[in-house]
Amino acid sequence: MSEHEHGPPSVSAGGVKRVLWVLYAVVAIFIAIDVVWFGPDWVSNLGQETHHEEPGHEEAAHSEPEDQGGPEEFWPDEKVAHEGDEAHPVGHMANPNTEEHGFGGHKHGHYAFEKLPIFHALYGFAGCVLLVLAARVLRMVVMRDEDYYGDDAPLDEAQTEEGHA
Amino acid sequence: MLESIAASLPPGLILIFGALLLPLIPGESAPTGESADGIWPLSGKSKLGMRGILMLLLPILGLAQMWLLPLGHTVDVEVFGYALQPVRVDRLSRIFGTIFHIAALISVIYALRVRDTLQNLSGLAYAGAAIGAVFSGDLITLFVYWELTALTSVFLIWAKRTNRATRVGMRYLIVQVLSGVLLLAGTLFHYADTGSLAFDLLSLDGSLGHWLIFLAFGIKAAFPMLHSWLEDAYPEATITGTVWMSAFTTKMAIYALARGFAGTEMLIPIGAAMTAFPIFYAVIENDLRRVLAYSLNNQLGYMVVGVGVGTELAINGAAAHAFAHILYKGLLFMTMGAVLLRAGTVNGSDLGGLWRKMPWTTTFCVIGAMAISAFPLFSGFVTKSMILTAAADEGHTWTFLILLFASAGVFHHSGIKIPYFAFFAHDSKLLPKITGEAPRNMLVAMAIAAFLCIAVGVYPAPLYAMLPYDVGDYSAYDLTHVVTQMQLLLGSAAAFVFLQKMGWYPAELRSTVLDVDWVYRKLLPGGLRATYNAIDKGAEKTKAAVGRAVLAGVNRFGQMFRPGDRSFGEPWPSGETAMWAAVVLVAYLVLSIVGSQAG
Repeated sequence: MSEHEHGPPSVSAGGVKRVLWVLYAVVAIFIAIDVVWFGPDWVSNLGQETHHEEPGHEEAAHSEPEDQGGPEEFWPDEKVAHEGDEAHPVGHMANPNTEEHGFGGHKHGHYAFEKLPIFHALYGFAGCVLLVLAARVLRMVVMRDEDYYGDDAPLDEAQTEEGHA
Repeated sequence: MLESIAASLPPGLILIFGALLLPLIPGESAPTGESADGIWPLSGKSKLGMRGILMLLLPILGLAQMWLLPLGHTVDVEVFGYALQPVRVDRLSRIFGTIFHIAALISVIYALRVRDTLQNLSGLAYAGAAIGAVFSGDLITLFVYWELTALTSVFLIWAKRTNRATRVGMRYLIVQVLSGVLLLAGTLFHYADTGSLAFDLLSLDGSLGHWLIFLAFGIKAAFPMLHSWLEDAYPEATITGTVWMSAFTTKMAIYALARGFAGTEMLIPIGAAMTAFPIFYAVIENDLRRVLAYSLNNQLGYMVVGVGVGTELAINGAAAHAFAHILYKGLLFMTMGAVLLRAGTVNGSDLGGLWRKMPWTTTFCVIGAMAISAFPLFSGFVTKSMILTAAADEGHTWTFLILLFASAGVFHHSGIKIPYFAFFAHDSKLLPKITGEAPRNMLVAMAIAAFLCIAVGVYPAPLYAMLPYDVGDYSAYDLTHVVTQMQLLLGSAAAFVFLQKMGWYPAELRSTVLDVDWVYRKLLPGGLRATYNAIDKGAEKTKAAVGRAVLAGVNRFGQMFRPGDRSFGEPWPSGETAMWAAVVLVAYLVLSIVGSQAG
């Protein structure tokens, strides 16, 4: 924002700070829900998914869960998508298996990457930063003077004459 | 009794014929003193008057008549041996008809102070034409209404009565009529192929007619590369005109796609592109009504994806999203209209701090922004999720990711940028000149739209009940969806704060941003002009060269007879004459021999 064209900030510095604190608090709440409520299910699912796919490596899965999260597992995977379909044929519905995990709930989604803790927050943040940076580059290419097309210019003589005729 | 009266009239005609009555009713006092885009008086009380009452009654009567028509009701007629079906009522047409009537009513309330009969007449007739179109059972009736929406809506631009509006309106009309011509041509090919004019599922099976119809729908639905008429025209209409326009044309096209091309795979990448590319423009555009136009284009993308996926959930999602979208987009355009009325501009570079003078408008704008951003408890949340779920159900992973990115982007430019730069940011220099809130009728219209945005979000069951297919036990509300959506939006908000603090957010600058329309506004005219000039210059040069050559020849010829010139100006020496005579005779002899041989 080019501040020289404008007056003082519309909302006082204290007001802005308060708004930002509220924002940070809400961000923290939703990240906390994701990590605390859905986290245990995600961790146990890592083991379970490995269990289904490679029963022979069950022990390894439990000892080193992070190793099982290879890129292909988080990557868009139609197999995972359809697995989700069967469990939730219509939209987002409560998962009846939630009780199995004790504390916490099951975060459902069609894709493995959706179940990553705070995936959506990071995707939203990164997406918007890239969006704005790309838009800045776009502006260098497509920005012109305000009257570039000259739409406000008087209609030319020929047009005026036709109009009168 | 009531049903039989209702059945005797095609939906939409109440608005069209009612609009034609407007000029016949004695008008209220003509605007004296200050008015803007025909809005008068600018503040204080305003008399409703006979015209106002009629304008309010028309959409209400229209809606009542439409709902009296039973599902499955059709009207079939034969014109010149062609079987036409001017009316067909089913669930798909009824939900679009319902929201079109509601949009017309809200627009009427917003426009109650407009003392410009032209605008009120064309707005109501335009709404009627769009309603007629969604109840058309055949392609010819559809074509008639399709063109009528173009012919009526252009006056909402021209009513601005400026040079710019004249130009913009002409461009808009050309594109819209082109769409109609393509639709008619496609219809004729389709009839030649099938012998039917019925408007049912068509498919891109290689039939030229279907491709032409697809293209016609694509223009009005603002497909990528065919879109720029929208961003060109909508922000240039009158304050109330833009509110009318934001509801009908594009959603009529979405309806037509859902009817004719549901499940057409090609629509999925087209829709995904539509959701993504406009948001880059929305970030750098300065005119906030144009930002909303880009955002409108982006929202249409979700609906196009829904139509392309084509499952029951997806079509439901497209219809529901169109319903919700008309309300929140109309609301946002209404708030920007109020800003334009009070501040005289909607350029982000000139605005800021308006919340002090327009607190109600600010509140309504924030509600509209939260609805378009799909915050839980707002309408966008319960409708957009159907489309994303449907896309993921069918395994369209990349489309899903693009839609998710676009959802974050929508919050960024529509959810934050619009309210922030208009109402907060830094106090505008215009602030002292702003007299106060929007007129009361405008606030009422905004309040109704805002209420509906929240009502649909909090209690979506009535909307779900209207959808084309049974929704079953679909629910948008569960912890996963709420948490992930909130995270997406908060991530987007955090990015805005981060970019502002880093000073990376592009400043609002007075500028023109080039889009595809540059091709037909600059490149083609410039190219044609250059070609013409080149030809003209070339012709001039050739003409001059030929002229010079002829002149030189004539001069030379004249000189040949001047005294002293050796050609004919003095007698030739005898020897030379004899030699030339011999040459001529020999040539004659040779020619005679050759001629006789050939003969």
